[in-house]
Amino acid sequence: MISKEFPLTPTGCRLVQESLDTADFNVVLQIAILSHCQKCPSCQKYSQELTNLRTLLVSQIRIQVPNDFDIKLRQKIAASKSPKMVSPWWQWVSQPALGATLAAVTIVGVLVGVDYYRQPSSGMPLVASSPNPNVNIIKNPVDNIVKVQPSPISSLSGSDENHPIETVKVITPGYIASPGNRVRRPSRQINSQAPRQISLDEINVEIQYGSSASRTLPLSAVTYGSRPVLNVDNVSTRENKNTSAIPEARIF
Amino acid sequence: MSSLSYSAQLDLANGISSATDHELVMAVGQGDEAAFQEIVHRYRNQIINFIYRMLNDYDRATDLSQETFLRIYTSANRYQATYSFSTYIYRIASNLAISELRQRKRRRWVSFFSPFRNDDDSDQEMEFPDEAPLPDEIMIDTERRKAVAAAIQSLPEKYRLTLVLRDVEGLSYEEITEVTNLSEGTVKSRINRGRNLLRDKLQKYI
Repeated sequence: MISKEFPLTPTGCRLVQESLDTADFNVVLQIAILSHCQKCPSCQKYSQELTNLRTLLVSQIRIQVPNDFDIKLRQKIAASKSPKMVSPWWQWVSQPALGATLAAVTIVGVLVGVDYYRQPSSGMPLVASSPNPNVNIIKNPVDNIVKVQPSPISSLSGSDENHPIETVKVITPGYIASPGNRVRRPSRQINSQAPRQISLDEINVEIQYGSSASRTLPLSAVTYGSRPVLNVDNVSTRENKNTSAIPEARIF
Repeated sequence: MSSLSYSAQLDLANGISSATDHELVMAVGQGDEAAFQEIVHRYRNQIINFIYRMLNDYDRATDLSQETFLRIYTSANRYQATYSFSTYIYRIASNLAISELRQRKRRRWVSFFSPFRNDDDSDQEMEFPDEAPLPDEIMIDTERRKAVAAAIQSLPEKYRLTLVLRDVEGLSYEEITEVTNLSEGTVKSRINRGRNLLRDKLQKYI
């Protein structure tokens, strides 16, 4: 039997601690490590702390898989299977009605461009989002924070039944508050700049279909039945001191 | 070798549950939904917990573990059994988790739902509501769990990934090298460095 020994030297301690780290040792090595640790308080402490740390990590509570995990996975798979109507460009070029096609593309491009510049920029703060396929945006009466929760939203302007809605994001150009129902907040984090009034039309909702298509609508166009999803009586924006030019976003 | 598809073979053997991961993925590649369901059942718990430990965010962990399985599903017909399937799925999940962490880092300066929290606030581990009074032991245990979760979250992502794979998920060094595509020496070094950082942060509990 091969015997092995770790001397009580810095090198010996280093080798023992490396072996303990990897826990990659056979019986012979284990005996040598134990023998070393019995005589070396430093390595004994190292070994004990390592064991305790591993126990702490392993004993972390395992979270439960949500009940609707499989259903939502199926929905994502279904969405990923929806065909994308993309044709190679040369097929377009070879069409006899090339001129008309190019004209149509140009018009659409101009319209999309105009629409794009009417929307808030991509840097706008996101205040609510959800991966739920069916969502409703509700206002919590306790903390007045708007959240997105599952709900059978029945009428979403412009929605397409063939493309289940995957994500809804509310985009605002700034901090939004209702004057009649403000939440107390520490003034030290808000600069002294006067609130800027913004209109409801400046709040947009981005709706993502499947994994690629998305559409941005004014908040007022998103309805639940015949009612608007969210009523905002009065809105204002303030800049947060910590983020200088980037306004915080929150809906009350 | 018969011309039966994997799906048919699995049915004939009446043993989806006893099929190997490799057999299941091959069957998924041929459109076998039951085989895919079996893969999901085998791995969903591990994957959601792994991503949760990386992100400390239940909703995103759920979302990204579904994305992991979606990628398994859509690329099953291109699956190469170079490594074990568990390595393959952990690699997809870890790539998604790291991508999420990097995106968060980029947008850290914007706080959406808690605009007034202090900069030194850290994300809290998700707690399930419990109205029952907490005895001291449970409170201490809860505090300890939160401290461990916060300590893991505070690790740089390269240390966090290797440490979670090793000490929480229990993967071997060899498996971690395959998941991360790092050398064994680098993996060992990162795990060791991560443990040392955790040891300092959790001195009170060890």
